[in-house]
Amino acid sequence: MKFFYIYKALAHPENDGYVQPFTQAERLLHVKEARRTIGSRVPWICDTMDNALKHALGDAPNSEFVIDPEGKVVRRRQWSRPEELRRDLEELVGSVEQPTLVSDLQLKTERPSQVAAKGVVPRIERPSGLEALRIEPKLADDGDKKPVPFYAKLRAEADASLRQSGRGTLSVGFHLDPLYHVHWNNLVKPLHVEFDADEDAVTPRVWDGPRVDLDSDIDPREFLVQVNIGEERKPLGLTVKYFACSDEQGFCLAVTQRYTIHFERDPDAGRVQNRGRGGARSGGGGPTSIGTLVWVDSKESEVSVLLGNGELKTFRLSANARLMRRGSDDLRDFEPGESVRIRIEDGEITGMALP
Amino acid sequence: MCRLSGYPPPQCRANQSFQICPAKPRNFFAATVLISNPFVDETYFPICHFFPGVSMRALFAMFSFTLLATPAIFAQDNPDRREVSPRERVNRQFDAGAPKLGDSLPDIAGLTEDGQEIRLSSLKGQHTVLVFGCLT
Repeated sequence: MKFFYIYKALAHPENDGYVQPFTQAERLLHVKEARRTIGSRVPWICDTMDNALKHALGDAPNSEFVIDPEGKVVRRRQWSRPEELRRDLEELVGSVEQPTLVSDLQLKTERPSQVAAKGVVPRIERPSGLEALRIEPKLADDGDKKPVPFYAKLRAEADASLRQSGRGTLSVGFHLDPLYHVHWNNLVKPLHVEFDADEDAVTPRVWDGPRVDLDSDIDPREFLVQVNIGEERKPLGLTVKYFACSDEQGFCLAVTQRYTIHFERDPDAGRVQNRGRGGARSGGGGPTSIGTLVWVDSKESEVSVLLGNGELKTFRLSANARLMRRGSDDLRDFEPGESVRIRIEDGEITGMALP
Repeated sequence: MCRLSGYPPPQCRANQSFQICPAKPRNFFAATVLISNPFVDETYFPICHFFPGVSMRALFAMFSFTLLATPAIFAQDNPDRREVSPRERVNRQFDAGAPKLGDSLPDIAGLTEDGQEIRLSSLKGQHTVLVFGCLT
């Protein structure tokens, strides 16, 4: 019996600061990082940059398959469920006398690294309904020079109007890739962006990042742009300039990089969940409680929960609340009567999951 | 029950139809009329209709229908606005795109952790479990 994890595109970019890789080498570094942070010894198969494995096997973020010795699918599940997988394997290959428990594995998990302050530059307010666009970083450098990595990576999102008619709002964000352990240098000129378009078509056409009091930080640099490029929606080019510094490796580089934004939805870009909290996972923070959902108002983002002490309380979900209900992170999928674990900070729910 | 004819109560305009009910009406709109027209008889509660011949109940039903139907009409006109939850989207993709039970795995290649090519078709000879995952 063999087990493999298949490493795919990020489901929720920005969690713990991770961003979608641009190259296969970066995705392989993600695999190493996954091994380091999760501590599992199960081997990984890394998906290719065209996401061929993900597409061929159903495009789900955490699916699982059991293959028989002839290579045929004998079990498939859209969302992995370890207890059901164990039952499947007992059925297919027989039970074992002493099943291994997760605690037996003594997994050595590690936290993602953080090289400078975060949470110092406030996140921007975005309109609703934005979807990630396909972006094309200009990877190859001229000549034989070793290409400079994309220390900061672009994520571009557009509203429905822009995607359909070529006129609307574009959200532009540059995120430092934690794989490279770099930070912004706030002692020099801030990040600078220039679009290859007229001021009539893209406003603002030129943008400079905020001045930050701290010498360094790792917060995203982001802004909104009003775009009017007509129904043809020709791809939009941009140039970004910034300084990336690594205290570990002792460098501070002036970087200039180019991108092309295509006005089409990128189905593999993932969905940002924790925007506004510096992308932290719901690992720390306020206290957690167990309760039973009595009422779910997905429109108002409110839930009433019967807490363990018999108290019925209504909570508002924070804008960045992290929700997990098996295959879903949508409040509409939670149902009254379900037992939930909730995390409360400042009177608001910041995390809710099935226990 | 309410009677629809008789002497019009002073709250109602000449062109308005009206109802006279023997008990205090319970519905919200009737109560609103009573508040704005505080004619309260010990026995009868008048309800003026806003439009001649159209009862408040019918008006309320029309209003509710419009309110409920509008998003659906918009969603039909504009596919981008149609609300499909992320979970539903994933379910549909998986049902349509994942290999079915009994199917062979497609012969797609991935990479081992050290960057060597590995093909799904090579995963034969024993039971194999594949689980998708990522850092986030």
